[in-house]
Amino acid sequence: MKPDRNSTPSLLDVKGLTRRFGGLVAVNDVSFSVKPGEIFTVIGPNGAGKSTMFKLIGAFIRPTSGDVVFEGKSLVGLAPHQAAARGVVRTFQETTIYREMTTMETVRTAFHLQCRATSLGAFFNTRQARADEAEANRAAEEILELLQLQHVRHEQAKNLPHGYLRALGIAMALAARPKLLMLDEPFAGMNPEETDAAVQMVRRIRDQGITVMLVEHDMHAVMRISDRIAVLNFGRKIAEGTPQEIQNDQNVIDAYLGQEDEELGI
Amino acid sequence: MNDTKSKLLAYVAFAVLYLVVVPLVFSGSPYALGVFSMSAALSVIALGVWVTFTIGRINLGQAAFALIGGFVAAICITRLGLSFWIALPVAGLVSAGVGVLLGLGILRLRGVYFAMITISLSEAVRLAILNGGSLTGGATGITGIPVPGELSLFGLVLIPDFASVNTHRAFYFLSAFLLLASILLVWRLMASRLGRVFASLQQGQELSQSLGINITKYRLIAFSVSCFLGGIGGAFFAAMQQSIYPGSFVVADSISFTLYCFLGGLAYVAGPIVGAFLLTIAFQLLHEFQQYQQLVYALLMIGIMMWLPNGLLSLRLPTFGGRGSASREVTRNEA
Repeated sequence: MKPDRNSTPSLLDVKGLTRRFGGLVAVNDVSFSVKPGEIFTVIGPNGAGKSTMFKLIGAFIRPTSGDVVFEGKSLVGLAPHQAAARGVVRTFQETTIYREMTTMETVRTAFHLQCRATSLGAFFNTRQARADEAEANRAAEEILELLQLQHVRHEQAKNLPHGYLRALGIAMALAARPKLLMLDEPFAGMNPEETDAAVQMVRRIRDQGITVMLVEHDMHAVMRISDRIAVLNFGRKIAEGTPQEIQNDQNVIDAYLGQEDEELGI
Repeated sequence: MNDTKSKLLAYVAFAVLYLVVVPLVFSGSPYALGVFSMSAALSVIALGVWVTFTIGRINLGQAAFALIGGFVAAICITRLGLSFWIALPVAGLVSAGVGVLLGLGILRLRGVYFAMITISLSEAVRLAILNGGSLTGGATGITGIPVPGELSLFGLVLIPDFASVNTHRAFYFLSAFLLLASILLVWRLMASRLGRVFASLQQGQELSQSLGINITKYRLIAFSVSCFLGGIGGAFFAAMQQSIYPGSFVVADSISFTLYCFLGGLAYVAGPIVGAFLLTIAFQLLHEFQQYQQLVYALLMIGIMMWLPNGLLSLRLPTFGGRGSASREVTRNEA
């Protein structure tokens, strides 16, 4: 099941990544690699630089130094939509949605990258544009089914409860056909049953051949789901390894000192 | 599918009404036909503003593009001796081109900042044309523009010389054609993938980027369509009035175009058209109030935003409670 870490070439290489905001070093010389088919998690206390890391990988902001290499090519200097076109797609927390769109419209919008008709072709409704639309509809149904959103397909996003919004966020990202799916705190605010369901969902996504990278606070879920974990603290990577290795790492324990044991999952 | 069919039906019904019934009823009144022509041209321009609304931008610069269109057409016809039928698309395309160049810079701005910079654009273009020397004619503008001549293809006369027929009716049909074509253009745009992309830009730019949407490109497409419609409307105006001045379209007009959109309803392609026709015709009927036009527009704008945020067209949907009855009140006052 788990790919052999030493022989497979990595999908994503983060190399000496640094990002400064004025005097603050949000991400400081962080390196790690994500292998294809892995579930890789970045954890860390608040302000550790996890979100900045996400933005750097998704090309939303540029690193001060260092490199992000995806499938052997650098993503640095690309626009976010170009990174997405390469297969790096992120989700946002659930407030970032298309409020006025229905579930179906949202997923069809997110199907943008798969549309092969040009803008002009779409305008004139060419055969290719109609094929795109048909394919978008079909794929959207499939994704709604995977995320169990079929019964809210005609509901506007602003009227959906929080749990659905998170699923909607993942549905959007899946419609963009990512190779690397980056999930921003997918388990935040969930009760244990919801978390269980979400963990199963993330596994199903991985089983479709999509590499998953998480930023997460919920340690229980993280320990259960992750193949490997990197721990950030004050912008630096202080540990990397399997959940077991992380749980026993003295640096990690120190970083979380003063926090509930429960939160660490040990 | 059904929705599309009913919309198409409504469109055809409107086209028949507008192309057959209205000219028959008002055939004896060149004045009425003129008011309709003006309303239609203003609708085309306002439709452009509506398109910029779909990407979440309040465009108060449409007067600039109408002015550019009007002057490009006037210069093409009077200085270069081109036919109106060439000058018209050229005016639209030049406006769209200027829109793309400016849009590259200003479309990064959002909200009130975009609105502010487009207001200054209305004024800047007016001043540029005022100081355009012999090319634009300065404060006196360009007058004596000949009416559109004959349009023929391989000896086949498609459109007769406007001077040789009932000119008022000819302009009426030209404006009707431009209006119907613009509606079709915008409607098709919104029904295609582009419409969804525009809506996504309005509701979450970052999210759209993360889904692989090139937001710069689609913002420019929307804005250039908007400017194109502004230019076409301006060119029609120059031809119909046979003159164009730097003061033909000013900041106040830009604001009126947005008001048309708000009044009709931002959610509907027909919104700006309903708004433009209602207000233009109303002010023709209420001659004596002409001097209070700006005041009435201002009050109307405030009123709509407070009581009827989705515009008049939203009233066909059943509304309940206090807000609904307030909305109905507003329409009654208007009728």
